[in-house]
Amino acid sequence: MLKKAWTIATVNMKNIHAAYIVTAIGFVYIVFVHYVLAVIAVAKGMDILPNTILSAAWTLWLLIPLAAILVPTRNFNRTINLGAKRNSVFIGSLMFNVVVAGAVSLVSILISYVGDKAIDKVGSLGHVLVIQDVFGWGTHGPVVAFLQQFAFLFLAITFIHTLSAAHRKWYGLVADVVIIAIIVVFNTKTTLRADLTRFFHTILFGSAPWQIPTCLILGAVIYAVNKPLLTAKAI
Amino acid sequence: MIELKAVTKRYKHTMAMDSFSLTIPDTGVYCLLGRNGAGKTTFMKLLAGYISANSGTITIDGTTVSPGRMPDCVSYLESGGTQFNMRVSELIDTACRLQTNFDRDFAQEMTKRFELNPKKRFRQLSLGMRTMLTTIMSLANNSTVILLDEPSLGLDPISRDRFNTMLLESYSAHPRVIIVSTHDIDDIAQVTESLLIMDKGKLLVQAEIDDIDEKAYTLSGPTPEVLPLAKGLNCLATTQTAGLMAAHIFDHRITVPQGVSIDRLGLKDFFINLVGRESHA
Repeated sequence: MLKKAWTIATVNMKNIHAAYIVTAIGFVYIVFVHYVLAVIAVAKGMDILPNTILSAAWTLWLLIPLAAILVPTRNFNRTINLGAKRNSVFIGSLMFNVVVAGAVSLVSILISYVGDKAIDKVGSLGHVLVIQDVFGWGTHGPVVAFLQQFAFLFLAITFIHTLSAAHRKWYGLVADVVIIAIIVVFNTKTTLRADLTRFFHTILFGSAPWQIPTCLILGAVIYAVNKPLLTAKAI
Repeated sequence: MIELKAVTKRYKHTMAMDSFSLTIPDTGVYCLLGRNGAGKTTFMKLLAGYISANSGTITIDGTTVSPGRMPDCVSYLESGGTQFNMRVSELIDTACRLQTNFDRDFAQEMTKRFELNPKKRFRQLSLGMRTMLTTIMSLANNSTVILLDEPSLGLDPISRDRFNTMLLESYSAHPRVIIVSTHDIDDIAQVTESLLIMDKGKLLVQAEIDDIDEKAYTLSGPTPEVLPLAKGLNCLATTQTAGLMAAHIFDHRITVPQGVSIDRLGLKDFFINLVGRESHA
């Protein structure tokens, strides 16, 4: 079962070209605009640089929603048409989500701690806005920063994956309405707004011992919803 | 072995399967015939656990089939189904890793026999080659039930002949239930033993090919002589021209009076008269 699930994970990794292309375009754009042009500008003594430049690592996050949409909507039928069973697809897609969230987090950390730090050292290039600085994940070093980013991305990818999987049925649209309603209702009442803020604060800015388990458990619970969705899904 | 009891499947306003019942007790190559929209693909998808029925039960070896319980013993790969745009060799390799009991040697041998370039990507293949690749991947699975949906779609006559040979070889090596849905009636008649004919979501005929050879015939002659004969038999359809009548019968053989001829009704004509004609005697 695990071997088959891993096959599904690898097949999905090889077949999300659109996600890779869009992410690559975003990455190349940021690298060119913010790094290459910045280096040229500094070398030529031109004062055209903003004070803060965006880290290229941010663009890798594009891969998360794109992959989470493509796998359940486009790849599912193709996987079944190769003879996969629904149980294998369920576990295989979970493995895929873990690997993608882990890979994006790892590469992002490497870019931040190697590339961005080097640019930061050349003061005249401006300050680089790195992910872990924004969310406060870098306080305890790169390993914890990796884990915190991974946990958040895992939650994000499973959430979008599950929502995409549900979208062809009425309950997918109901889920959209419920999510929008929660945000609207929670924003109108002060006490509820505080709860909503606390929730987002925990999954984004919370301290590692809270943020990591919260995101992982919530992600796993949301992913479990895929089980009945997969069972009901017509091929 | 396979049992469908009063299975009904509705798609919004279309009744694809209408209280459909069928029992397949033994292994064999079964030919599933029906017009477009007769419910053949729905039947296969239900049997494979791809979709759920609105009512009725489907069991294979006593185990209920549903999307929640896709049976391991069934192999169904949709002919026109979408595939990853991978190389032929990669698709076979992936199918091998995903399917239990996949016979890689058989798949590779058939790939060579049908001259499928293993380096070509799926979208670079012609319609016939895509169909053949899907059929090879399906037959390479040594499951106890194999469902082939339009396996000769887009195949040239030589490839169709090779497909028939492959089907027989596969069945000889692993006797099991192979249900082939097709429109190439005469071709499949060479390899199949049993016939299932569907129309408008119902099973019209489940019979052995030999039975049909024996019982399907045409009575032709002057209308006053043919009409009374046909009335006492299971008459599928009649045609009349200038005082002459042809009655297509599916019943026991009879002795005919002088002036009335009796001719064998081919499988294709039998099918056309069964589901395609509206004027019944």
